[in-house]
Amino acid sequence: MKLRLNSDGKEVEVWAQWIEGQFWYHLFGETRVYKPEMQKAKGAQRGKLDLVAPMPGKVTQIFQKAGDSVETGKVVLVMEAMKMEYSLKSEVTAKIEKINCKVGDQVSLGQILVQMKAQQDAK
Amino acid sequence: VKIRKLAIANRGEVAVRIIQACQELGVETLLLHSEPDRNSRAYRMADQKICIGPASTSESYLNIEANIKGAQGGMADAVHPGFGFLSENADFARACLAAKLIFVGPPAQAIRDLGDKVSAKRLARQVGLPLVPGYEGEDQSVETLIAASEKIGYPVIVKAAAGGGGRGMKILEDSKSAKALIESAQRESLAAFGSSRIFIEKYLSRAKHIEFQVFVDCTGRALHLFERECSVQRRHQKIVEEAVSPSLTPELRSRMGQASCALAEVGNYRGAGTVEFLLQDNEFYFLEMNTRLQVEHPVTELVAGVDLVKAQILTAADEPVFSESEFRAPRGHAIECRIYAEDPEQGGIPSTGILGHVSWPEGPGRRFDYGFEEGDKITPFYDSMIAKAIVWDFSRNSAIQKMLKVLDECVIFGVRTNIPLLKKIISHPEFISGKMTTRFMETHFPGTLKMSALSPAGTELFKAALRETPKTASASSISTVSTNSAQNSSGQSLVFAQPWRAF
Repeated sequence: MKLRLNSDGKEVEVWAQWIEGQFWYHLFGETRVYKPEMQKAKGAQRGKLDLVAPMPGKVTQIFQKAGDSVETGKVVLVMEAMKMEYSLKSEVTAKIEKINCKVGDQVSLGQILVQMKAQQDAK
Repeated sequence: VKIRKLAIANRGEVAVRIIQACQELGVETLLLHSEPDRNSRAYRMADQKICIGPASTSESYLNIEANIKGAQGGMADAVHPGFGFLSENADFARACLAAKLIFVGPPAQAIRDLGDKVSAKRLARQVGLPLVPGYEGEDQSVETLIAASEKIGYPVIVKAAAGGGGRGMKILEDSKSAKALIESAQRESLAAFGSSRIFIEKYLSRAKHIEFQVFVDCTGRALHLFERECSVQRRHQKIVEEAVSPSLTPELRSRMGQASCALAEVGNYRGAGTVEFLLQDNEFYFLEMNTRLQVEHPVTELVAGVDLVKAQILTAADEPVFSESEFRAPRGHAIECRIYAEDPEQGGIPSTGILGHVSWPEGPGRRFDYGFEEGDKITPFYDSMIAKAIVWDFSRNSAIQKMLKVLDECVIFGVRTNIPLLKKIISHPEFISGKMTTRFMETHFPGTLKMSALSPAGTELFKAALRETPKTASASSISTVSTNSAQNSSGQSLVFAQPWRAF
């Protein structure tokens, strides 16, 4: 919807809309999106180390299996969306606990694809 | 030949573009679409639609048999392939012919001869088009390779003949380091690809991407409609295009244009095609030919005053389109910005979702080619380009100014877009100077864009807007309203349960 708001005595036009729990607004020539805390909390439930789909798309390659140890920066799987490839890398040195997807799967945004476990000192 | 009904073997904004051309020509349209593309503007606009398969492109838009069956089933007498997908597929052109469908594009043989890089280079050489100087000989001794490099002139780039992806590539700056680098490239190539064979090419470190629009009407005579510059690209994906290039003199334009026409004629081309070049230090080198309509065709339409899609359809129907004297000089300047559904703050990763409010700031010299509207779903299955903003003005500077204003006023809710990046690109001093090369993006915008924080006044406005906007006006509350158009199912429209308030 279009709002006419007053900013320091001047009338300013602002477009604003809620879409699926996110607040979109267009102000001073720029579109921005605001995600309320509720939205963020959902993501916080997952383990910090887990690999999460940053976009909806298809899993095209998986390089590791459960039980493997991976180093920081190691590519664990590759996704594809809109003809673009995106590599998911491990952000820490960790052990792969579980892989929740297989090659060819269509996954959604925020889906936990790989569960990781922090690696304690080498046994 | 008469085309009564035209099938569109494509989607998105180009499908809309073709439907609009058909509506003006009085030709009926049949959209051949995938399952998820029922949620698209082209679907709502087409007279008739046939679903040819699921989301996966290999089972729908790239499936020759499904497209032919769909076109036949819908009683079309011609097929327009748009761009991408099957548009440069000679087998598809041939299959259309076999099914007695007119293919809106060049003959299959011309696609084969000019669309294939190796055979296109052979034809280009035949008509005297300059190619990037290089050495691809059998003699791979280091002495011969150094001699070849010297003959080409430094800097040169060494590439593995068997490979790609940058492996085994070396840039040689002078003869001193040549021997060591050539040997190292041979070793790497052998290790990576099992063959030490290498090619040498002149290294164009500050080249511009210049392409000529050619058109061959039904008489077989080729003419060119000037050039476009598309140097602003990232990973070979064009982002901003313009016509004409700020770097060509009329003399160079005429030489490159004539060379492009000669290539089209020797390849027995028909319809719209594009000859791509690299340009550096006023020397041009043939790259390849695209045997189809281009994404960036609107900028040519605006400076040449033509409708390329209508011209394509008329040519396919064997009707003459352009007269001899029409294109003497380009008029004004046009710029196109491709709008991609991607998140510039996350390095451009794809952004998908249901579109919310969308507004295009219409006005003189502004054109918006788009395939999706409020309520449509942007899916991860296809290319991320959702729209194109195109402007025309009397000079390049005024066109840039207009584009900046347009980008400020474009509102797209529901998916992130590259609009913030586009604004940075066209206000960059190197772009404004017109001196940008194909390395513009990697040099100036290599990573992720940081959006500036809201000003204090902006923060206040944001809070007020948040307060005043009811959550009920969300895109998930779309209601589908059917109207009573009895003839086909196109009478569906998506209406927003959206309150409109003004203060």
